[in-house]
Amino acid sequence: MKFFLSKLTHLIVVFFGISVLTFLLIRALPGDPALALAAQSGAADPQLIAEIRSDLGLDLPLWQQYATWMLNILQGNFGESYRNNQPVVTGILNSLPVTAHLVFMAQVVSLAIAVPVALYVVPRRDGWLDRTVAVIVFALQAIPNYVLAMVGISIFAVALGWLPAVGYTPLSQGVWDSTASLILPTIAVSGLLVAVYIRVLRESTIETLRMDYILVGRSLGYSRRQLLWNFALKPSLPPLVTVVGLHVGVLLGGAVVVEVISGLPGIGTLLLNAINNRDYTTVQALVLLFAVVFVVVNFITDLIHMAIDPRVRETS
Amino acid sequence: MVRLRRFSYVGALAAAALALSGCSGQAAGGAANSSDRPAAVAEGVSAGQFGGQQLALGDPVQGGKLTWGVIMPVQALDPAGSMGDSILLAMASIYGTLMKSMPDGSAAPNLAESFETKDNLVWTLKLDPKVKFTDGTPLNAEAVITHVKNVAKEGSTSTDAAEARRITDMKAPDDYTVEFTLEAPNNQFDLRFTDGSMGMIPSPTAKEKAGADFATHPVGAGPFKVKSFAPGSEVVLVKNEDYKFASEGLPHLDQVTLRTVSEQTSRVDGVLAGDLDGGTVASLPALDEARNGGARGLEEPVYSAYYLLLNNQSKLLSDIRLRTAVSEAIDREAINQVVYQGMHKPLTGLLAPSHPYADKDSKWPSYNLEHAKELIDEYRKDTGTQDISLSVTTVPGGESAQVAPLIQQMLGQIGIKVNVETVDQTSAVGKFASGKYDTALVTRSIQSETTTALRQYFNTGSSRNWSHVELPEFDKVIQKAAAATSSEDRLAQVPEMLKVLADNVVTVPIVSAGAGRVLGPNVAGFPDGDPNSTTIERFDLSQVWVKQ
Repeated sequence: MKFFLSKLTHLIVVFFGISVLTFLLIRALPGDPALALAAQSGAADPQLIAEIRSDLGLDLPLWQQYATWMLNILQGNFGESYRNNQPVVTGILNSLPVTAHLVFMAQVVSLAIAVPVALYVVPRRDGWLDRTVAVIVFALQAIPNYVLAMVGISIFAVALGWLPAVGYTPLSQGVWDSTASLILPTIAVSGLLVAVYIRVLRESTIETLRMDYILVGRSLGYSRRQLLWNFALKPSLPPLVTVVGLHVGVLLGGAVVVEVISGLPGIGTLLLNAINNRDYTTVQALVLLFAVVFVVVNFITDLIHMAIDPRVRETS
Repeated sequence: MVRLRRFSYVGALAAAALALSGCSGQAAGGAANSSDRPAAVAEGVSAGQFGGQQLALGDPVQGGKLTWGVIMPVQALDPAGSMGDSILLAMASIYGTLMKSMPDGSAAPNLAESFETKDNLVWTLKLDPKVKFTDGTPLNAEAVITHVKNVAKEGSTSTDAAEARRITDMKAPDDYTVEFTLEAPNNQFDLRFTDGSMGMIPSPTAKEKAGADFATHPVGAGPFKVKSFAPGSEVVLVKNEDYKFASEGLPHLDQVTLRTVSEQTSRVDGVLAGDLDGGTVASLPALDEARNGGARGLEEPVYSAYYLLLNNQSKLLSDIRLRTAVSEAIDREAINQVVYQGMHKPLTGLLAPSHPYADKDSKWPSYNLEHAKELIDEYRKDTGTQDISLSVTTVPGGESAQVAPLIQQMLGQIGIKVNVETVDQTSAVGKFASGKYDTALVTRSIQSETTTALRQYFNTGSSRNWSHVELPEFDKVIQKAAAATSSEDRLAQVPEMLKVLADNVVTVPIVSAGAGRVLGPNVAGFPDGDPNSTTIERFDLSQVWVKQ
């Protein structure tokens, strides 16, 4: 109970901290929403800008704008988009399934590749296969996700015609079609994750295999495979679980660029459009959403830690 | 020395062009083998009525669906305030336009029956009683007056707000007639109803019902109506069975999806991979690359060009010697070779060479490095200013990001330090409009009709006078053109306008722009675009048909 209360307090503090930072940072960007709205008519008439600013409540003192925004959020009202008067929540709910699907696929694919590869190379460490994997891991870390996205589209969509190049097919139109529309973006955002996960799991497993109880197991006649899978794997997982949790943020950041290149109507595209349009309410709501997701995922990570590591359970 | 420098970037171009052509050649080879893709030399392509290309493979076919990759996110669809390339395409399809542009630059009735004037001061619009909005209510005089008032109202972000405010009175002698009285004679008033805010009329009933939500629940009388709309993502339109021209088989398509694919390369890839049926590209090298990849490409009659915008009110550039020196330091041919693979045309005047009124007689300062240096020396001597620094504002991505470093290098040759400032599109427009910049790389469209654009861009006080030019002699010619009683008299003023602008070096023309449509194998009919539109992504979707 104490653990949960501590995490809830943590969540509330982070939520308010992020809300203040987001509120101030978006306003620190050059340009303002009133000018952006006026600029779509090609004009920047000071009177028009003043009228728009007044309509949007941007002429109020900062603290008053923040207080109004927070009070509305606490009542479940995240505001309306400056661009089309649509509730921000509606826009987010329209975009969320695309990004959630992408993030889920990216995590599943990354772990499905990284875990077996890492465990396969550990017993062969410093051999040619381990070195080859190290080179691939290095390359994957060095290649930006947008390059992977563009190369993937050129090869698998344009040249071979195997997969869609742009757009998202909703799950309601078929699981396979929907999954196929996200394969190339998934590959693009998974590249870095696969590399990081392989490195982390490989290092932690090697570390575990050096521990005394493994030596005892070896002297008792357990095979290398038995030692790895039955005794070394579970104690090696906590660092990987931590990194998986921490990389949800990286994944969401990477999704922004990849969604734009792949024409996916997800949260990343929504965020980029909102920033370009200085749509404060949408940007603020999205950053808060990211923060909450990040904190919740880390909370789940802690729970998993507790489940797989008795030492953590005891200290918690 | 000068030539050597020039050859250095031409050499870089050659290497880059070779590398690029090698890449695209491989892609072309791969794609051309596919039997269901059109050949690079496309059959059915012919010259269109507006000076671009059109596609017609056999007779028009009714039905079918089209997915079009649009350039910009479509966020809102209220013609009283929503603007932007792709938004105009969507709105024209939903609302239709009262008038339409003709190849000679004039306006002809579309949803309206007629729009006439005797003195250019009082204009009479006759509406067609048969035209109904898709909610069943009539497109009548009340609807037009209500909409024009919305466009003109305080706080309006419409591009036509200033024009609408020049209407001093609107009367409805009967349910289907509107009489507009203007504050001053304007022989082009009907053209304002061919595109943009004023010509697209929303249903007042639907607008009242939807309130602030109308921008996402639009109702018009155009060829299509909205089936679903996810702002920023896609708009799905379905055929309006009661469209005014339904008896002529328009629109041909049953359904159109306008899907946002902001990245030009992704749009082309989407067409090549078959995810999209088409999309617009904003440069001829991009169109060429798409053709090499196996897509069908139609060139569009864009009378737009790339300019180095000069803020004539800035401390340094208010001096004509500096404006002239900047113009003379820019090697347009080198930019064309390096950035556009020689496919565009260096400008010698304000208008693109293909433009019907391309200026042949006005003397715009062209590439002359020695004279540019002399002007800079003279300026330094007279003013005591040694450090001459200018900023070049540009937007990220696209060709302007490649042109900016070249401009920086070229102006550096005459001793002007250049700071390249990259800002997003929205901030850029805000800076230009408010005059908070020195120079900027922009694409500007000067439609075939010419005088409207020249007035918007250079008339004192115009909202789009981003060069912040104040030239009484130019304003006088504009007034003379507006008061002309015939198109011939009005257009006769164009050479004088161009001369005044050239004499004052108000901006720096660089190279002509180019645009095109990339079409997939499913598209069988596609119209020529409209050179009188302010956007390259403007064509009549009702005229498109696909194979069944």
